Amino acid sequence: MDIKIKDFEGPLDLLLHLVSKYQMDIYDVPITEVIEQYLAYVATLQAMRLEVAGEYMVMASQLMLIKSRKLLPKVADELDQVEDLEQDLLSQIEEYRKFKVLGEKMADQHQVRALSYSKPKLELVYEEAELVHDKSTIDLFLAFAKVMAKKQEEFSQTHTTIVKD
Amino acid sequence: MSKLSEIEALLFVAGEDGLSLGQLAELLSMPVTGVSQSLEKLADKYQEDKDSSLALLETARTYKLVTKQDFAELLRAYSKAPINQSLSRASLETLSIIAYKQPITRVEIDDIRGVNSSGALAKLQAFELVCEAGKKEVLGRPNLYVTTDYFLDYMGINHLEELPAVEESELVAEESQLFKERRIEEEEQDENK
Repeated sequence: MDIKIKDFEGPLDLLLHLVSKYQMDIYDVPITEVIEQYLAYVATLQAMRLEVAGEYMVMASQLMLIKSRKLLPKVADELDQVEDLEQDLLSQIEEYRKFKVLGEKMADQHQVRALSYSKPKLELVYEEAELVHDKSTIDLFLAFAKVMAKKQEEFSQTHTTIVKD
Repeated sequence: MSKLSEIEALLFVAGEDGLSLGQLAELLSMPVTGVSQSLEKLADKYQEDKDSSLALLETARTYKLVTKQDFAELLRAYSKAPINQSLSRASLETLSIIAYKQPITRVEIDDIRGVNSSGALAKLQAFELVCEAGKKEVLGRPNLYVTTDYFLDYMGINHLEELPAVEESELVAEESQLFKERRIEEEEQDENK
């Protein structure tokens, strides 16, 4: 394994990478093998004492459930449950892949727009112009907060931010 | 003073904010059709003049005076405007989900990506590419997010319909392409070891 966890945008991205190795339709991929690889990968990372994001752990537990359910003999009623869990995961990977590709396409499209440069609006000043008092303390606060947020995001290299909900 | 020079003066002052057909028509007291004809003439004039660095660009349904694309290399070092900067992969994924599935809540975005998207969302909001638009009528009343007019400008389009579409066949091709690139990278890394 020579890929680092930080190369991936979360567990779905990692799964997508593992699945794409098979070069076949997502729904034909041997899911048990992929689960094995995923768990081995997370285990290796932990052995090396690397920080593994919580999301990878949550996904690992979901995968273990799918794998253990697959091992049990099939009861007619519960048959669908296992299949469902598996299908849900596959369609999740499928949908994630769609947006990953679209995101890349959007980046390409923005590249073209980024070739055209413009200048900020010129603030014209007149003697007769009267001040419209339509701004409040809130507007001032938000304006400065926005500038700060923009700059902070530009400098922060980490993707993990803890937000109090 | 010709109509063309008047339009040029207005667009020059408006800069990156640009002006819409309606605004121009009102300021010049001209019919909208007349304005769009003049704009076309102006665009042609810039294009034919080899000694002019300007071009006319229509994004987010407003007209802006911009530099021709050939000057991008020259200006890159000088200008640091947000519109000319690219986004991180996390922000890009999040933005594409909002663009195609708006209005959407943060939890729905998290579900598709499989990771927490608060950071990316805050960044996109700071850049004014997305904004909150009302609440979803479910338990907890979460915020709904949509893209802004500035997003249209950022993508260089006038309507959301102009966003790139994705074909199933393309998906497979892209995927194996990605895979090949990764494979090559991995092989290179192996050789370097």
